[in-house]
Amino acid sequence: VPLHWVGYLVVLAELAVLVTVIEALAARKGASIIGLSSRGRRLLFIASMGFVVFTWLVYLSRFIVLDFTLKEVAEETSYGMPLFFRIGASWAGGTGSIFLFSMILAAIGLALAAGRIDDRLIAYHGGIVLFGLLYVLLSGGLERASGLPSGLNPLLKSFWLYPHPLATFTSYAFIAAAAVAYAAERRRASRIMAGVGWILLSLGLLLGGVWSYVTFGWGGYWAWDPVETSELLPWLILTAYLHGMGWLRDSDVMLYTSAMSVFFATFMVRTGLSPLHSFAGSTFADLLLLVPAAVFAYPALKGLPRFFSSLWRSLTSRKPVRVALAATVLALGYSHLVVFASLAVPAAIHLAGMEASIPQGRSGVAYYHPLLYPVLVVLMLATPLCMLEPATWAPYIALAAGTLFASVLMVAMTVRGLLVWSPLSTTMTNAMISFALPLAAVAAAAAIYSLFLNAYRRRILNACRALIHIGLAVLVIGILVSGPYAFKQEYMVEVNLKPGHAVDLGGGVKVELLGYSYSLDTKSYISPLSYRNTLPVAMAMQALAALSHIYSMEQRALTVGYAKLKAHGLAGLVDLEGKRLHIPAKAFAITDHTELHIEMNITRIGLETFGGGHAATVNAFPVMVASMLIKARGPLAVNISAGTPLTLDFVNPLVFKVDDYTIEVSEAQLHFFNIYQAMAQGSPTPARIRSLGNNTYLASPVTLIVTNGWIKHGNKTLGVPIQLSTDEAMYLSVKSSEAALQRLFSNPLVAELLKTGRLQRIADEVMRGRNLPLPEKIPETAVLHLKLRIIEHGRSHDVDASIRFDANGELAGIHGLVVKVLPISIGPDNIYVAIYPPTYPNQYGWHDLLLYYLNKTLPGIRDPAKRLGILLAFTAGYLVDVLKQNQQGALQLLLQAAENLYNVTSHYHSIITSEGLRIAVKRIPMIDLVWAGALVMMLGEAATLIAVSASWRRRRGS
Amino acid sequence: LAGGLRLGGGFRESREAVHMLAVFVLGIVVLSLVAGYFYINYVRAEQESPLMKGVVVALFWSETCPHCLHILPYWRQLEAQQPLAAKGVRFVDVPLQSVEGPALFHKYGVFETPTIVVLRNGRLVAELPGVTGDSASELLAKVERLLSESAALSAAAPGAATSPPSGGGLLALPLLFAIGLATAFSPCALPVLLAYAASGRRLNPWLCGLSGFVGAGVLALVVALAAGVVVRALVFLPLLLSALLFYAGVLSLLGVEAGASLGRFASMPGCLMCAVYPVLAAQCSLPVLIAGFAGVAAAASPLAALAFAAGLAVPLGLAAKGSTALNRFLERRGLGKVSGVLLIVAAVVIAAVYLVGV
Repeated sequence: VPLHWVGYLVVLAELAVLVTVIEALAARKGASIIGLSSRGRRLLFIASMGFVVFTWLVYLSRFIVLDFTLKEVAEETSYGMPLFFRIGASWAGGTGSIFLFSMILAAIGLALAAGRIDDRLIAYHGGIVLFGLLYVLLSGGLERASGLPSGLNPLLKSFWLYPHPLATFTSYAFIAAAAVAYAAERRRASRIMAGVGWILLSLGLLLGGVWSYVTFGWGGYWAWDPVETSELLPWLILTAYLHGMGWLRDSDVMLYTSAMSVFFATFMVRTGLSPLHSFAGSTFADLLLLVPAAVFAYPALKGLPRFFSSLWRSLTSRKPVRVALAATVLALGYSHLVVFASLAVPAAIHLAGMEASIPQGRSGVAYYHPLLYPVLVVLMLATPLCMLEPATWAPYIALAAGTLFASVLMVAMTVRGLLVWSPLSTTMTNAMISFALPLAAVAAAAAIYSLFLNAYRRRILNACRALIHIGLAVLVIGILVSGPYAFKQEYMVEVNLKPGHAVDLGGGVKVELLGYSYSLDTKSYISPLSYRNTLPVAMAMQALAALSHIYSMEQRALTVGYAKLKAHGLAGLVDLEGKRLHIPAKAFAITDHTELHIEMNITRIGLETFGGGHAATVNAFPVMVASMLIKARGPLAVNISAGTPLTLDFVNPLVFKVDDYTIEVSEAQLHFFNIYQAMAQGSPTPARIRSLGNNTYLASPVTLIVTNGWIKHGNKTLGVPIQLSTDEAMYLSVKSSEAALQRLFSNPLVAELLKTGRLQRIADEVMRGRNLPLPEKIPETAVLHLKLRIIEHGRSHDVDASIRFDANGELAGIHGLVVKVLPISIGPDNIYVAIYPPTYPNQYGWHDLLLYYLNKTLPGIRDPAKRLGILLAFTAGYLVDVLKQNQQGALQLLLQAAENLYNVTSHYHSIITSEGLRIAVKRIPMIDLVWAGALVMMLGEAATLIAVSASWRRRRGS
Repeated sequence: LAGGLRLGGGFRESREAVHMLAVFVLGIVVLSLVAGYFYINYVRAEQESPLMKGVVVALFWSETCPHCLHILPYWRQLEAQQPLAAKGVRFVDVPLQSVEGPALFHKYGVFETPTIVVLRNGRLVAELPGVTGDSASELLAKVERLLSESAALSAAAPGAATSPPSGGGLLALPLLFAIGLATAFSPCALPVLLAYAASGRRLNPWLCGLSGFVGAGVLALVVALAAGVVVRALVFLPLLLSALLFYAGVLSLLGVEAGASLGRFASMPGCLMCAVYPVLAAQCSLPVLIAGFAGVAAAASPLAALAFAAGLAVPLGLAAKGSTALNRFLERRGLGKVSGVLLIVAAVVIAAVYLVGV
């Protein structure tokens, strides 16, 4: 595969790092390859790390100038993309993110080299950069590409593209660097880097949660998505390390495990096992990420037995603080093991080529929560001990006993139904919240008390640690209370927001739509041609081929079948839609011998086959759709309801004339729905049945199927059921159930292609493996701008909001609609509001913005074949989930839907005034405590780091 | 006095116990704030809804169900007329598409719309799923049949079923009296008083008892009145009370005294010392004292404050009299264990009363 020139630059950087590492390794053995002095080796290290940073800057420049010949640029950007996103796109892909990681690692190397640096650190640190760059080279992102941009994932195109990935990858780099610095016995540098790594990793997790909260529109911040879970993995063990370092012997085992988990996490992202963060499926290069993971696992495993024995000694030491810290380390270590197993086992199965899934979403809750809940209890019980550091057990035992007593009381209240936290959750979940809450409250109290006590005693380091644990307890309280509300979509209520009406969102908050406007971004474009391998485009290709095939088949059915029906004398009866016919009251009996009089207004008459089969002849029945007045002589024993059909037995046959047909009905079935509507939509809408009193009913629409009778036409008399040949039956089925396809053939777009025979030629080409005709470029984004007024307890303020639709999302099959999320704070609670565009009121439910986008875009595509191609691709993208479920009729459904989409979009007018915006709203209690708690934790650790380095400086000074 | 100083040996332990106690009280306050906030905004908001009081016939419906929309106008007619108001039956409707809708559908297990649900004091007594009808009178007939079949009207008079937990009504007074007694039996403060009386300084038992009653009473009254103002936010105070008593019981069982030596109070004039006795007793009975005030706050009535003060005053009078029996009682070994068990029992009783809602 040809590399882009940036790729060759990376090869050079890789070689430079390789030479540096080999020279340092050789020097440790007392040898030398290129004969550098120790100062020379340091300079070489600085030069090679500097070169890596430089290479990354060059790589970044390709994004800034939009060099689409670099594959990673082509996959993540679009024509005319704003600079902000061009820079962000450089780390949005699989290659770019590891390149960023390697660059940060190299920059850390430069910082380390500013002080003393020995050969061991040069070799170790250079070694990880080496692996990082190797992955960058082999992952494929640096290959030369076609020069057609695909556009950035719609969900990434926000401010949030920066903070979460930057925090995460910087933290990964710091953690890896901390581990190698420890191995090279740079303990203080390692301590600081581990602390910074922890802060950034916590920040990464928090920002990931915030991103999910404000982007996806379901109100959750954690869903045990495998990639979220992967990022939690190093956090758990690094937190354990921070609790064990300095006093617990061999605690460095945990630092190595953290570094191992970092590489394992980057690998997990690339296995494709996560629905939220899927880059391309796993390649050979991805396995390469397991090599550094294994390298770090080695010292971790080697030190494990000694680590466990020292942990055991601490646990059994009977010294309160020691036991509490050891229990914390053990609990966090155990949770790391649980989480690691849940990820590694499915990943291994997946690599072995078998189906595997990681617990996530609801199954994640069911798997992780019971296993990790005891960890929460242990941590909360250990916190007061660590915070107050008592010398004896007795006061703590009373505290723990009192707290657990309160917990049991709360659980009892919950079981009694006096304090239900989440009515839509199980009693078990509620009891778990009730039990943990007093523990968290006492942990918070202990940390608050400790903060003041230590501040008073001028023990700054302890005060900083107390601050971290205040944050932790607040976070836990926030999660306990908000969790079920945030996670469960069942709390969502859907309301309609029409212009000029204020809608009550609960909690004293109202929202009003003041105005709206649409716009098509005319600066950014993507190339649909770069989406050839996606599911929607593949489906569109199949549909196009099928369209041509069905056309040839149905044309035969339509011509041959119709000719035969005509000869049969039935052509005139086939479909008399809109034929209005009033039939005055006639008496007949129903199955329970009650006499009824019916009067009907027929709106449609047709001939239908039911069942079909492969017999030589098929039974057909005259069918009438009508509204009907039913008068019974006396009360009815049977129910007149939508569910059950009535069999009608006419005392005197019902005879009426339609055109030149005379229809005589002696037995019929009465169904309380419109059969044509049911056939078109797949499910019947029940008739409205009104009782007028006096045993009289008005039902509409109903369907009368003649099961026994005669049809007279000219001098012919046909008995019902009518025997039809298969050609005639085929004609009927094409005519009725595939009416949508018929409309597609007469659609101007398709008709033009059919007339010139071009559709058949394209279909042949597609069948032979050629590509779907698609335009070279289409606009990327359509935006619906909203002016909203939020009214909170009488005070109001106006908000500008926008809902975005990105074409590339639809083409990639991940949907292009980005909803607007508007969290409104009420105290610590949020009214979580997700605003969607209205959907067109038919069975496909096209959303307004898609219709607007196509209405503006389709006319600009000159070639009807390309227009049809893009129409099919968008239809498939929009309905991708439905199509995946209906494997059988998928193509048929896709074609019918495309016809509908074309019609609706070519007669587009905004439906906001008639349908209103769709608003999903729920109140989430105490969600702000989650963000606040996490922030306080990070602040606390930052303060701790400052206090630690200040104490080192003082010691050095003295 | 010697009895008070006897405890000096365990000073560090005692100070740690004070820290732990402060943490515990703070923790319970945090818990009360969190639970109280949630209770007021989420639980009680629901309990105070019209569905919770008396006999209610509610139509559970959804905007997406055509049958619901068909019968809704007739139902609204019933809501406007309230034809069964004389029998104490109210007609309401619960749309799925409302802020509390999903939770109510879940709570009463309504999976089908439209469904008529009969509630008595918020509890489901009967339901009629898939109801149809073409007039208000037809629906009314169906409701009346449902009411007569379910006997929703025949049972006793309506009252609040899931009322907010209360402090325990009449039981509160003797209980608070007992807590007052327990507070007074502070193993470090009462001997000080006894020694004071034995030293021959003038100490009128009645006056001492009265001073103690007034001292504790004023404090307790302030707490009771203050609590009366904020009691709506303090629905979890009984919880605090029982958890504190439980905590004090465990401390007593373990032989730990939470308090710092306050020997200098011994130099006060007799009446003043009796008046500030609650503060003095806090040396070793701090958890019980806090529990007493919490109980007063929970009951939020002056009577409760006086009961607590009275319980505290009786042993003071006895001590001022220099009762040898009391002295002997205090010197009995294992007193800590007995009082520990008693406190725990009291905690469990309060909790049980709280939960059952007597």
